[in-house]
Amino acid sequence: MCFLERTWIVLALSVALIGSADAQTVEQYRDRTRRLLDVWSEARVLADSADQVLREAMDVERIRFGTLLVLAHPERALGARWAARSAWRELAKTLGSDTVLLDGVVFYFPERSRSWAAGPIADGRATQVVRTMATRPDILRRQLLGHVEGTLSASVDSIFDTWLHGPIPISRATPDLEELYIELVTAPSPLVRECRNGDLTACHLAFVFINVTDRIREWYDEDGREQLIRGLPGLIRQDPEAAEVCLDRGWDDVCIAILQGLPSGPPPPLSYAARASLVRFALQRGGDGAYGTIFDAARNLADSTMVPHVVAAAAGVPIDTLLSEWRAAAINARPEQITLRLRSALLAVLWIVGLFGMAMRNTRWR
Amino acid sequence: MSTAIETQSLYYRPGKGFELGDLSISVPEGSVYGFLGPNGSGKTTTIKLLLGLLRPQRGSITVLGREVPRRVAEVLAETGYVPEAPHLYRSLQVAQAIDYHCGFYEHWDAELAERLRERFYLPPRQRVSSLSKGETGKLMMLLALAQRPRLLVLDEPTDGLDPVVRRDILDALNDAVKRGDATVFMSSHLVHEIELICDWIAVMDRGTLVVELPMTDFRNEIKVLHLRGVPPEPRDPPFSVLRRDGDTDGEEHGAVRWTVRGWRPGMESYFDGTDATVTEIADVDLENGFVELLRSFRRGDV
Amino acid sequence: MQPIGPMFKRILFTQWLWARVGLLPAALIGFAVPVLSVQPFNDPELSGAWVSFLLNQLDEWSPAYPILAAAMGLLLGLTAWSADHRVRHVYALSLPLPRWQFTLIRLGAGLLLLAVPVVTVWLGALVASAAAVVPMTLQTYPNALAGRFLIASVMSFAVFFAIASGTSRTAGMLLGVVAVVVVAQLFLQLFGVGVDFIGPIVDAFTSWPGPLEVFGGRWLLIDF
Repeated sequence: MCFLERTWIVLALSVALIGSADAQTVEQYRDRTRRLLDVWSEARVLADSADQVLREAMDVERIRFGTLLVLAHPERALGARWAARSAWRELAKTLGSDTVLLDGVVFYFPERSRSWAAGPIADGRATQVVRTMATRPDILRRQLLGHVEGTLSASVDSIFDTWLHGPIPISRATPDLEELYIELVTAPSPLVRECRNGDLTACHLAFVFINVTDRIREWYDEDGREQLIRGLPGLIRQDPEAAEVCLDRGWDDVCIAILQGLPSGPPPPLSYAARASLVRFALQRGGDGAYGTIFDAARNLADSTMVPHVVAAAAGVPIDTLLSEWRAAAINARPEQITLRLRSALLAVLWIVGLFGMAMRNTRWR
Repeated sequence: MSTAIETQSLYYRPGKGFELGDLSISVPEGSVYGFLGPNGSGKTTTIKLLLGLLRPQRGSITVLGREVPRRVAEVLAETGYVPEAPHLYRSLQVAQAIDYHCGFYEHWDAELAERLRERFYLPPRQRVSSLSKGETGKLMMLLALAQRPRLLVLDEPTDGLDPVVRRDILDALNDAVKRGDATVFMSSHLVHEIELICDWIAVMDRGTLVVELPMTDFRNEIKVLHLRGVPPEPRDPPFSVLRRDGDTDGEEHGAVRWTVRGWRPGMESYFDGTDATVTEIADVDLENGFVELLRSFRRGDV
Repeated sequence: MQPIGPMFKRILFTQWLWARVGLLPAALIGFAVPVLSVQPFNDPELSGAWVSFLLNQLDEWSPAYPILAAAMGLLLGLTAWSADHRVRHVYALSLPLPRWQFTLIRLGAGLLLLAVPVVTVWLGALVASAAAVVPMTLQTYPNALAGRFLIASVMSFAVFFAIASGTSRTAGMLLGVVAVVVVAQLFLQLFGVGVDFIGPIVDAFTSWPGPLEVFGGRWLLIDF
């Protein structure tokens, strides 16, 4: 219950009590309540201003690299400075001229013991607080980059945000295509396999560029539903008997019923990692200015059918061209078989020769 | 005379305490050389140095004309070695142990090995680990002899064995000696065994060589002089007095006895002009001679 | 000097004698593991949706290979020298061959015996590869698997051979160093000092360019 509601109830009770004992009119009490509320609003404004003054006066270290502005409590200054420098290098490399997007955004590393507190006001703006207990500069860097991604992505339309289901990737500029290849091979949905085999319509469906009415049946076949449930142990724990009927006895209807129990429906055929890799691929394809393009294009979408156009706009090519190129890159990124790597074998041989040499050189045998 | 083993000023000190100092020995080829000494005198250490199992800090070692340890592999190819403690692989059977050993020696005599195995009553399928101490000793001797070595190095080969086994081993050794096959270098603290077969003797004590000479010289040189009369205090005698016993009044015949070393015929004349005369010159058995020699050495007389 | 052949034969025989109790079962296990691991790959009707599941099932057998390789190396490395240790190496040192040659022959004999489980793993992998029904997107790697097993086994053998060939003092020193590190870590933890140096040491050994790097990771007969 908020402050205003409590106030109203107290006042109403007061009125009821007093009204029964006092002869003042309801109008008079309403008037008095209004005046009290005015005082309360004024007090709130004063509190905010005081808070603002405090936050403007906070002792902070200002760290600026290019358009990246980071404030840090003196206790975190050293680590924050390293993190900011390193993050800026990556951002400059990835965003290029689009680093202007960082203008007006301020990040703050608070005191560790007060990481829950509000950040300072800087240049008239609230800061994005990077709440972390970490002290290692590489972790601070990683978290700073995560906040940059989140802050910039906050400006995109909720439709795009819902589709991507995560921030527009900025860090890790090189797409992790090896992992993507594995997903294309092992994903439970037949749409993903068909996409991998070159069916662009299947790619559109797998990326949820095209909506379907029955996600459970259209995204997954019988085998796919079974494998999906196998990969969701939480679901199995919720209803082990049903899971047993679905997985061990192969009753598809039961599998469907289990998936229908998911509050947000079945997961899309391709993961966030795959969608993010497509976006990253598009941004790389688009070159300098691509980030600006995608952030612009991703605001105010009419509906979800606009999503592929946003991605294509970033790349500067039609969506089908982009999907073909992305698919080819993923296929080419097939991981080298991990059973025996040449460099591991050579290293092992060197060690073996060294160890045998040690055995020969043992003093007993000289 | 060529030597099978020669050391020059050999010095070895493994740590605090024991020290093998300035050891120079010369083992004639074809001899049966007895290396005598009490426990802890350095016999086993010397043997290990000769065979390259240990490395001296100073001095030189030549075995069968080859420098040790530089050419020790060539030496070991012609050397049969029986160590003090059993050194065979315990998990092998007797037949397997013989077969294993023979693979390393070019001149292996399989017939001799089989004859010795039967003579020693060694069951071929019995594990070395289940052989008795005597049987193990016999097996080690078998392996050493069947190699037909030029040099046999035996470190207390009969120590701790019963008389029957001891006799078996010594007989086999004697046979090998009679065949003239090899030089034998044998260490022991059992004097009577050395006396039986050795023709050279060296005595060690506390890491130092006390004496090295042919057995005949040892026997001939150490005597007990029975004296009548009051013998004078020894003053520049031509022999070493190892021990003096008996009644110094000298009234009775043979009451005073001197054990001496380095005795030669005609040395009775030393007592001319004194109150004592030599009534008898008796031989000393090796054990007594060895004991007196050591005592005298420890006193600093020798 | 005696030719190498007869000496090698005898040394090989003794090492075989000492190691056969572990070697024979290991050879059987080496053949069985790849064959058993591909049991789930038996249904030609399975769709590509099962790829992840099948690979996970196969991956459960992964630890068997490095464990077997390590065990073989340990067995052959230690048994090469244990009999000599018991008799203080007097027998070995009194044999008529240069010492380096004796060590080399022991080494060669150990490697030859190591070939037994390696060959059985390779044969098992070949049989398993022929028998398995492999989805289109995956391939079998029997030679790579056997090759990795060979390298890991030889690495393990090299480590234990080198340690066992040394004096008891050397081995004692090595163990002493390990004990000091472990005890020091425990003490620090006891006093609340959150320093971990066992972890980085283990990482240094098991990841590139450490000697045990070949043991880590997934050992898969069937892969992408």
